[in-house]
Parts: sequence; C-alpha cells; structure tokens
Amino acid sequence: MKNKADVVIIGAGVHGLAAAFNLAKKGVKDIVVCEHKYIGYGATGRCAAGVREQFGLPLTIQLAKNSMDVTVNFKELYGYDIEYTPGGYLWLLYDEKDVDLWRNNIKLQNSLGVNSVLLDVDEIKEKYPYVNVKGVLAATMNPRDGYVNPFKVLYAYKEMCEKVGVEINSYTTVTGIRRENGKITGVETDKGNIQTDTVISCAGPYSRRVGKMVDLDLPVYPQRHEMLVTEPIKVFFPCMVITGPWYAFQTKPHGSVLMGITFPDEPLHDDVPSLQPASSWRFLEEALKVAVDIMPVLKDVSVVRQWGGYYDMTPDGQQIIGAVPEVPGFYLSCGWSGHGFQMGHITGRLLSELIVDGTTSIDISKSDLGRFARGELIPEPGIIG
Amino acid sequence: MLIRTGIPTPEQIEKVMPSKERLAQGPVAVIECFQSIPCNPCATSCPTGAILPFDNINDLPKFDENKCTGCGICVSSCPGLAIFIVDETYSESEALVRIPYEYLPVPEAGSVVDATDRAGQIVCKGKVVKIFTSKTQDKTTVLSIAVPKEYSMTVRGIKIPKKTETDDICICRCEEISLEELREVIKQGYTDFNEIKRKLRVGMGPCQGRTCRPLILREIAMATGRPMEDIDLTTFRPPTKPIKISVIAGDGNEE
Repeated sequence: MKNKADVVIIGAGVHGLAAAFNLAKKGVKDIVVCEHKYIGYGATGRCAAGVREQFGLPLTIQLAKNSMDVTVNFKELYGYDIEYTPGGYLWLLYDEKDVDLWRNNIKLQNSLGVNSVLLDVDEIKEKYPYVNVKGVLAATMNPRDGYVNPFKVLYAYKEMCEKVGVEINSYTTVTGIRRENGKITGVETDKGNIQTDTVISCAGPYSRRVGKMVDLDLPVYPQRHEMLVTEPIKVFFPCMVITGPWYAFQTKPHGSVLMGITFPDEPLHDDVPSLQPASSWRFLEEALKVAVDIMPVLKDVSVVRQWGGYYDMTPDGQQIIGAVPEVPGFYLSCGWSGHGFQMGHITGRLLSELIVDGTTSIDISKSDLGRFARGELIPEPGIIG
Repeated sequence: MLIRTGIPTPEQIEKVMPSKERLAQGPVAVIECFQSIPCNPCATSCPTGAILPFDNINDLPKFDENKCTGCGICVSSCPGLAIFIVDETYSESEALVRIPYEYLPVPEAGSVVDATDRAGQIVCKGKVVKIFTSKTQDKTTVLSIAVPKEYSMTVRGIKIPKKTETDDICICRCEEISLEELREVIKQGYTDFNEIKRKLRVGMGPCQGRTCRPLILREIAMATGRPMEDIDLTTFRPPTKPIKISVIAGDGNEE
C-alpha cells in the first residue's frame, strides 16, 4: 500500500470507484481507495440497480439525466457491457393527490429534457397486460428508465481504475483521519498510514462513522432495506413495476425477478449494526403478498434468495455532495437515501471537477452539508418507499 | 447387440438403407428403428404418407422411399432419435446429414465439429450448415452437418470439440459455469469468494451454492495457497430452498 497519495477515497462502491476513475482521468496521479471489506460490499453490491430520471426536483432530475447519459452509453464510452435494460419505471398511482404530484413532476421532467408521460388505465392495460390495475388511477412511464447489472458496473470501474493506476485496497479499514491546524494531513488504516491532504468519503451507510473522524456529525442514518430474487424465468415484462413502497423487475438476460418493499417503521440507526444485515420473514411475506396482487402471474415462480442492505438516509432524503468548509480537504458523497447507485457516474465526475478545477459543471451547492444547519432542506418527492 | 449397447448391427442397417437410385435423387429419410415398441409419431407426423400408417402400434415403421421428400419432420418427432435425413447430392464431395440433437450447448451454425458414428466414436470433421429449432420440434434440435460423402451412412452424431481440458467441467450447475471460467476470473485477480460469486453468479442459483461452494473454495485455495479454512465463505441466505411465491403469499386476488 502506498504511504502517500494525492487523494484517498474511503469506500470502494460505485461512488468511490467512479470518483477515483474520474480523478485519474483528470490527471491526478496518486489515488488510493480503501475498502473495509471487498469491493462493493456495501450498498452497491446489495442494491436493486435501478436507473431512472423520474424525480421531482430540478437538481435530482439533472443529476439523474446526466448520469443516465453515461449509463446508456457506457459500452461506447468505456467498452464494458453493464447490461443496461431500458423499459421504464411503470409507477402505479392509486391516489388523486399522487396523480397531481406526478403530473407536476412530469411537467418539470419534460421541461428538463426527460421524456416521461402519464398513462391512463386503458393504456396500462394495453401495454402491460400482466399488471393488475385494480384501484389504479394512472401511471407514470419514462422509457429510458431501467436497470443495469450492478456487479458489471462495479467491476468495470474496478478494472478501469486499475488501468489508470488507481490503487484499490480491499480489507483495509480506515480508523482515523489526521489533521493539523484543521487541515487534513493523512489517513490512518489498519494496514498503515497514508499521507494526504484530500479525502473523499464515499462510505454510504458508514458515512456517519467516517464523519466522526473529522468531528462532523453527519445526519446520515443507516436504515435496513431488503430484497429478494426468484429463479430465472422467461423474460416477459420489460419495465420496473412500482406501487410506491413495492417494486419488481426482471433482469435481462438472466431472467430472475427482483423485488423489494419498504417498511416505514424500519428504524434509522446511529451506525451500521455490527451483525450482517439480517433478512426478515415479514419482508418475504409482505413483498410476495403485493407481488401476487399486482402481478398474479408470478405466483408459481420460486424465490431463491433474500438479502438486506443499508440505505444512507438523510432528513430530507437527499444526498450530501461537495466540500465541507469546516474541514478543508474533506469531500463527501453520501446520504443518497436509496437512489445513489445510478448517480455514481455523475457524482464521480462532479467530485473530480470540484477537486481539480474548484468548480462543477452542475451546480450542486444546494446539496451541501450546510443546508441542514441553514434549514434549507431539499426534500425529494420522487423517492421509492 | 442393439439391446445391450444401443448400437445396431451392420446387417440391421443394411435392411433400412434407401436405394442407390433414391439417394441419387436428393434428401431422404433413413429410419434406423429396430425395436418393436408401442410408438408411432413418425407415421402420424409424416406429411406425405411416406411412413405408412401402423396396423399395430408395436410395428416397425414401413417406409415408401419414393414418397419421401426429405422434409425432416420425422427427425424431431421420433422420441428414439432414430431417424436421419441423408442428402448425397449436397455437393461434389460432401453429403448433408440431418441429425436430432438433444444436448446443450447447441453448436453455432458454420462451426466445425467432430462427427461421430453410431457408437459415438469420432470418424471425421463435419461442418454445421443449419440449425433447426422451431417450436413444433419440442426442444429436439435438428442439425444439418456437411460431411465427406463416404461418411454419409456412418455419421449419426456430433461432438463439440473441447477448447481445453477443463472447458467441459461444470463447477456451478445452476448458472452453468465451467471450471475454465472460474479459473479465468481467479487468474484475473478475483480471489475473494464474494467477488467471484458476483462476477460469475456462482452460487446464486436455486441450489444457493450447496453444490459449488466446496469446489470453488478448493479452487481458490489451490490458486492462492491459502488454507481453505481461512477463506471467507459467501453468506448463507434464506430461504434455504426455493419456495413458490404462492406457498408464502397465496394466489392473490386473481380477477
């Protein structure tokens, strides 16, 4: 392991690796990534890997759209097939209030170049005959939304990083961050110390733990979310079907169906519990009850596996990205509250711009850490769950 | 011999051989059925009546070679995989043999394979000219193989040549991952069991690693020199065995 670096990145998920890769491309020489387990151990390796542009805030839409441009063109840009499967998020709406909310969201999305539409019940029935429309008033659909294979993205970035000379250290736990006169001077790990003046925390649900190393009380709380996957079946539905708390989609080319459901009473933790994220029977039962209701055709399919992971929740359900004035040299990308995976491409690029050029091509000033102290929260209405 | 080995004798084959004259006219069925069993799909599927209707379902097929057009429908309808189409007019030096093929993977069109005789012995090379996989064949793939003319009555099967010694050793049955593929990712530097699982999908199928886990562990240990007990396993996740959704959640409110 290097004992000196221009930038040290904490966390080898999609955000950490994308930041490392983009920094290297911008000419930064010595970049070291530290990961306390294996690459993608945290949220990246456990997430649903949905990618979408259907959000409700201009900033989120703009970030999502720019990140989606990378997702869609990943193969042309970098030569790796990440199994991007467009087909759209079919967001079923059961409440007049939600229909109004999404009508406004769609207007905003359209004005920002996202081609989302509102479908009426007849259109849903015609295009998605396997979806039970009982109680449904309308649905949103954006054909460019879809999903990718998170492992393909992860290992693409890993290999791209290695090619441009980034050092990735697995099983290397950051235990402290050294400062002198407020400025960062190095990172302490269980494998030795690294001298550096710039640290990016891409620690996802572990961000709070990292924040404490520089005396920051980050409002980023781990919250368990669960998923399940079925045996592969013939690919028959191309879109992600969402009710709000529940969603399901089919991977391509593999054919397994992935599914999740969010429980509002799932506690927010102060830190990631030391045990593995446990799976619950409640999850299996509740997710599958919705499944047979919304898509009865799935009833004979078998579940092969369920697992859990942690969202990094903030009070407004929005990310914290950028520099931290109180700790010069310390940068954050965390608090994505469940929609972070897809944003890795753009955030990696923006962080590299911020660190190398001092300015970013998209104005991210509103999603800084300071907003919580200023009381300028930016709640995102387009959150699943 | 047939009963014991499944291989017909030269005398038996001689009896069902189409005439030289008929072979010279183009594709024709060769019905190598020698066992009286209650089975007649060849006759019921033949669109031209070349395979005559059975008086008794236990009969051997009776064949009118002049009515046969060599269409090949009987090839995939024969449950015993005993019917072949031979076209000795395919080219100057080659004959085309159409054979039923119920193995995976199916060879690629245009690829060169090892052509085998009735006993499975490799006799020559053959070129896969066409692959028939229509729905009516009910998953019995039919392959057209071009072989040297002198082997038209010898070649009755194929083998896809092995790329390497480990190519056809299966490590993960659920996701169909070979030892070759496993060793390749280990060589690329993926030596963490969890990373290998995510890279190759090994252990993500219905068996959840019950079969492949010890095999992969051994491979990692061999490649890295680390003792098996020091290598972290992937997490054992519920449910232990695949469970039908309806067993947990009922049938829903189907309307």
